[in-house]
Amino acid sequence: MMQWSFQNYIMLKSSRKKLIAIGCSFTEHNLRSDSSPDIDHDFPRWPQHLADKLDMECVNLGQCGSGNKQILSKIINTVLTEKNIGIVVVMWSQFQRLDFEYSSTEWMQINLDLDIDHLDDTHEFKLTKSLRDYKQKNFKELHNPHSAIQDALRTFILAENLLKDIPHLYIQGPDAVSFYRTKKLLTDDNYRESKKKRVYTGTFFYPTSIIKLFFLSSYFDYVEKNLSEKFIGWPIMQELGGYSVTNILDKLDPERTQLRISKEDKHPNAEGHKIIAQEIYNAYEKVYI
Amino acid sequence: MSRKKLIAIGCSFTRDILSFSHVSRGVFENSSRGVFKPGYDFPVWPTLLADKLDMDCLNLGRGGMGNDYISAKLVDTVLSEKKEDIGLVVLMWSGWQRIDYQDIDGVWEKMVRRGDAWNNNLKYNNAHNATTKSLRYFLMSQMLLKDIPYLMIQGVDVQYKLAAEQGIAYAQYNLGLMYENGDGVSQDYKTAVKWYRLSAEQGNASAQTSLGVMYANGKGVLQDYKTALKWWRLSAEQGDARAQMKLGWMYADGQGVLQDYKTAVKWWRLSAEQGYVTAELKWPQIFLNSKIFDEIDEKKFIGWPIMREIGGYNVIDMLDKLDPERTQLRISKEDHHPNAEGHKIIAQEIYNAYEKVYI
Repeated sequence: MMQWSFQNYIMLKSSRKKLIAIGCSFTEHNLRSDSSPDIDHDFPRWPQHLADKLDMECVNLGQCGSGNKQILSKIINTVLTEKNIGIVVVMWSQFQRLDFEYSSTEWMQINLDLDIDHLDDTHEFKLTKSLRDYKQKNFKELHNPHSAIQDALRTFILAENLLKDIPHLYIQGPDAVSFYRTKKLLTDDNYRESKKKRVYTGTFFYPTSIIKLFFLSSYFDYVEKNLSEKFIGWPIMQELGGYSVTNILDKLDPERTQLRISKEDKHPNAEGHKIIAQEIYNAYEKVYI
Repeated sequence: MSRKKLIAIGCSFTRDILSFSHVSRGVFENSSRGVFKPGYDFPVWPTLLADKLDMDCLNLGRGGMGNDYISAKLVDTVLSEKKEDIGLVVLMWSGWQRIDYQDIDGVWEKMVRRGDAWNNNLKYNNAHNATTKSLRYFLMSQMLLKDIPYLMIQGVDVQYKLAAEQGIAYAQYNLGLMYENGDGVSQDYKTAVKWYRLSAEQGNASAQTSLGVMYANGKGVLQDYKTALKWWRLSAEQGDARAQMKLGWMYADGQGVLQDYKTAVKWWRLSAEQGYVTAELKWPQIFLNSKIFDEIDEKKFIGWPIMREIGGYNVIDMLDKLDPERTQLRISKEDHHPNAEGHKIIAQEIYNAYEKVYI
């Protein structure tokens, strides 16, 4: 009989398949809360819970601030470099984030949700009005909702093409187009005030115009037909019968007092991460077992 | 039996002027000077190539567009066209620093190339971002086209500053560069200075920087640091990272100006913010170091590895090699786009590659 040793343990560990998790701050293992720095941050995130449930080694590539372009880039790197993959779980980020691979070690993001101070309420789509300066104007044009939605859906399709021979699941993490939700709920003055304090409360709803852009996108039907089986919560938006991670948590904890870091920080806390892991595990069972 | 389709996707080097496929909202695009002059009525390379291959031509080229557009159009093509109807897809890639988006009506637009927005674009979309982004597009396209015959080629220069759309000032600068380096012509510093000056006086920042270098080094002119400083300042103020770096050194060394480290640091920072440390010679380095580089099927990428410095070429290089003065294969001195003869040469180059790979 083979004698059990630390070496055997290492061999066993390294022979385990890998769970590779890619996403934004909802996925990152080392996320520290800016607004609630004193809380205990030392709890496992959903990728670790899920890897434990599946008896896989956890590789967490989540990074705070990531947009979907950075996520896609990590999928490519994963496909090119990783061996022994058990499953890749992609938690998509907000559609309107712009990512730039600034150097070999650093990505930069422009998050329009946070970087633009003011919107013109009367021109929901004509976002070039009432913006503070030329730079903002152009970046905003660049990722107007139409462009952002098309780009995100195209990114989903490209990801599927990359991952088609590897077990994988997708889920939408934060609200896809949260900017509009926030704006819809709050008037200009308290919108700015709230943003300063980073208070996120209540369940928001997408304006019909955004839902239409999404539903009527030239890519929607393709994604529905080819990706939805592996896309937890598809078609993402509650108004269309889908959901995101934000919706999952809000449904169980509408006041955001139980499953979030704090009132000021909407990221999932330890309990929130357990619930997310269970949701993904259920989908894994359905698709792969 | 119906003919198969040749699908061509690219920028202004590809678009079909005759078909008006590039017309947006009923208004001609005006990004390429001289394109719509009378007499510009010849078939472009996709049409010529489709004729050679006895295929129907679907030209999705659009002036001013970058690789975001090209990649998106490829996705659209793969989703909408029947695989068995496609005879060949040819992707002629565009400048790597271009950024495209769809406006609220779904019309493709390009990021405006002036003012703060463009400077910010260059800051964020530096050599590293532009190179890795394009390589990702190459790889993803290759994967999308796995079961479809395809070829790729780089159209315009990869770096925006060397992109060909800058018209006469660019052409003059390029001539200066050729004479300075003896690239395709006899090395002649005086002639290089002549072309640099013509271009610099029109405000071409790269030419201003190069002219400054000629003055600083006393090549083709008497060494004169003050004049070098003058040109570098003009260029640096336009946002040219190379000039900003050089201007910083002039202040640090007190050459042609009072020594002033604070001002030196100011210019260096501006330069570094634009990623100058990763500019020029770093482009091929970043390109070669990418994980994706080795994954590209070079048999199907004409001119691979694209960059002159590492033995590749693009369409501009191809035409310049045959016509270094840009008088035979371009629309005009002011418009660097390929003319009728230029398009025939491009079509033949792609046809040769097709024969090699698929026949």
